Amino acid sequence: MAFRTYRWTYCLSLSVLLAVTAGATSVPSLTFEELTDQSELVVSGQITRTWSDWDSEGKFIWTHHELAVASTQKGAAESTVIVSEPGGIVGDRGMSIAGAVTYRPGEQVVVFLQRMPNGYLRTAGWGQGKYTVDSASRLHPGNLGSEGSMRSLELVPADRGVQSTARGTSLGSLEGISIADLRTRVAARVAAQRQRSTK
Amino acid sequence: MKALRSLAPAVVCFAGAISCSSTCSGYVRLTTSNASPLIRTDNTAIQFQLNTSVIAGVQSSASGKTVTVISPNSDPQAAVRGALATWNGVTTANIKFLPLKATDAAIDVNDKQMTIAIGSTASDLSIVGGALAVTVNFFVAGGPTEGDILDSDIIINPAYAFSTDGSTANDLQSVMTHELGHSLSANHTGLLGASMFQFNSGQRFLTTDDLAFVNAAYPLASGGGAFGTISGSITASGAGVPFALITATDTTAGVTVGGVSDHAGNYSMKVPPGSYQMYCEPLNGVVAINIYLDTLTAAGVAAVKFQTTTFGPPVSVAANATTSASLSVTPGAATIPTPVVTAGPVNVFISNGVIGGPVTIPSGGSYDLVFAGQGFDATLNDSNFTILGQGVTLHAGSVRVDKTQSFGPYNLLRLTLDVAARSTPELASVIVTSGSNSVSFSGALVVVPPTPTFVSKGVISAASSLGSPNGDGAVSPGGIYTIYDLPNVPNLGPAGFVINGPYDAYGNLATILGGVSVTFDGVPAPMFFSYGGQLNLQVPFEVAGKASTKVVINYLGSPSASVSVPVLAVQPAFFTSCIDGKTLCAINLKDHTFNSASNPAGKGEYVEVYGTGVGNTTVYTVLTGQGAPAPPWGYTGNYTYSIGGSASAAALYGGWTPTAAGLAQWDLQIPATSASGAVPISVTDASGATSQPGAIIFVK
Repeated sequence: MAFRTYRWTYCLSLSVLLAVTAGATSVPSLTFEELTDQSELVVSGQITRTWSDWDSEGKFIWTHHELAVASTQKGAAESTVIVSEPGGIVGDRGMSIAGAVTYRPGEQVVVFLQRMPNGYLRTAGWGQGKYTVDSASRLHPGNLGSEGSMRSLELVPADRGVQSTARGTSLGSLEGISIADLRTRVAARVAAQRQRSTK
Repeated sequence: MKALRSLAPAVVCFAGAISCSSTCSGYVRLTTSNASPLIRTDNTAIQFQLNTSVIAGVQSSASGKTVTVISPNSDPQAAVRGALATWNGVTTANIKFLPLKATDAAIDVNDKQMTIAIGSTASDLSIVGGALAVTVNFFVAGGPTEGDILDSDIIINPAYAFSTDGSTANDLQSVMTHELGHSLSANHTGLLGASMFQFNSGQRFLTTDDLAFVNAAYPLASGGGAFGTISGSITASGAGVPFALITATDTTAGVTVGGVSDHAGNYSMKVPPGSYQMYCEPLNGVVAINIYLDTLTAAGVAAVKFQTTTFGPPVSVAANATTSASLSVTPGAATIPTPVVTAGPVNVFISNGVIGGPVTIPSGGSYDLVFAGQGFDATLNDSNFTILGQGVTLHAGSVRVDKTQSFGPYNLLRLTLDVAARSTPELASVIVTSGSNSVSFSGALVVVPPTPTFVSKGVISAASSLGSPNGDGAVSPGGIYTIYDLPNVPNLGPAGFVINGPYDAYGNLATILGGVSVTFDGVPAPMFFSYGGQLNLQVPFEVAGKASTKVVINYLGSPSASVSVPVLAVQPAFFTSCIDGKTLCAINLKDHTFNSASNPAGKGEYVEVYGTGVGNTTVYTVLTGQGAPAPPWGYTGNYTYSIGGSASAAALYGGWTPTAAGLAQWDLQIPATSASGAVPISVTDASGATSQPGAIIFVK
């Protein structure tokens, strides 16, 4: 975040605010565009089964969720996709991480999935990429918060005019939209990115 | 995980069949899939170890890009030790972290060694995801000991830059404080300003919400500090409201605790005895649902279409007793978008803010709380704001629009808070009601002790009480120095003296004491004692070679302004008697007794006098905060001295005292030509720097 200084009084406030907000971080709250860009797959479907196991290095326990794919909004998905989240129980031992995402068999979901370095597909953005789907095929995001929560934002003198502050579309705007609408939005984002990359 | 303070939800239940069958409580606990809370059985002797690769300046390319994970001037060991000390400072809970140890071991959740390391493998990086750091708890599943934590490892994300000196956005000590809370089984909380909130705001201290967790999870065996319980149900039109965020505030005692109702709308919160004003809010406002997402999947979705609703009159809670308090919430989804929130001095330009908070507010004065967003405009006045917090009140008639600044299309809406001085940090909450809508900022105000204030002249040698020759303050590398408050403004630290403990397992003195830390150009200073009117510390050797150093005092999250203090290469100074300020602390080496008027040293005998300020030696290495090593054979320090009017002579030794931090000594022979009685003494180094005038020693 670039700070600007305006006369000495502004410098004073700058130093105060640095102390106040220096620790604010940015990654947690993703915009729809960021979430889409980060995701290798965006699919909808039903969780059909769940199991836990050690990873291939025998280092951590992961819980895997088989998703029967009903439709694909981004990427090329097989008929089933395995969504993996850290934690779970194997035998008489369990592993937990605060903030890990869980699924249960029977859940109807739309998921944005990101490829992890170990090859697993994991829900993007620690839960921001998981949406439950109701009987009317409408999405209910886990994160309804405003875009950019906790992100340091710049305030400007009014005489500088209206500043563009939006870095993207709030995930909250996905509340209640249909899967078909989501497909359209994702496709538009993918197309826009493709167009940008070919320029 | 604090991950960025990352993300997300909490609890744990993996493997499918998840259920939050027990009544959820405040400061949510981590649980097993059977809803058994995780718990440490080594709670009185928790041994963490820091991987030896976690050092200042360490870089990593594990994330695919080369990142300086720990900034060059940072002290990661001190950061972890500070975080351990913060939790060890909780006197009302039965927990104790042992002194930090070093290890070469990597992350292994099944080795029963609690390791803190920078993620290095694909497995590590996959676990940490986009978080700043994660804590991996490995526990017993099933059986009578279900939930017992066997191992807790903390993985630092190598994709981010951490620091302890503010040079990067991610403060390592605050992240470690948060992660250690997870190792104790704390889940994320819904109170924005608590250490266990999921986003990192850089605070290194605990709030009453964090304390409520650890007190309830690990109560004192003596029964001291016993809590009471508030329990009840949250309903809407007769039906339970699942996963409502509940906030309880004792505005007299200064306690704010948060909790969440279970899938049936029931809740139970353990809180210190007191009188609590309570309200609840939906998890789709300032605090997003994803904080508890995995809990929600157990039983559908949270109810979100209701307004922030208060419980009515305060609820009284007694120790070891349960008080019932139920609430029927006001239906209807809130339509006030979460605004940008910030704070600053009254009517002063403010550079930036964050959506929803938290914001830090120094106590002991007036401060502007500022909103920017849809609906936060001239239609609001004092009656639209409710402030819940000890000693925090809305200044009457202060709600106003600031048209000199904007955020996007919105001008700022300012209101002035009058904040009474306090010596401990505390959370305060704000509820904004507009028409039939309301939005709450629970625990969003982090009220900290008054900003420490001092001036350069107040930084002087702890031995001679002298600064620089021109009357300004001064420091020298490695010396023991004192920082005094401004006259009659004892705001540097706690009201009572806090004395340092022993060296830790690394052989270091603590750099945070009584909630106080002091940095010199960002390097934390080892502390000897803290008190609101005076701090004693060792100036880091890292200031050597500089003309001046920037000094910042941080007391419980309230940082002082940066004060420039001159640096002297050396400032030899004798420690003297507190009674007269002249008589040296000296040992007659003949019989190792204190030199005094009744026990003078004979001419030709040897004495050892103590002081500080001999500076950085290039002959051998002395580390900040550690006992000095023995000097090389033949090293003298090149001091000369004079006693009782004698001619200058070479000292046998002048330098740091082996095994002590900051303490210097001079080994001298009483000259045959010295006068007798209480005679003057001085030492001078090769550059001509001389000890303070007026010092005396007793000679036969």
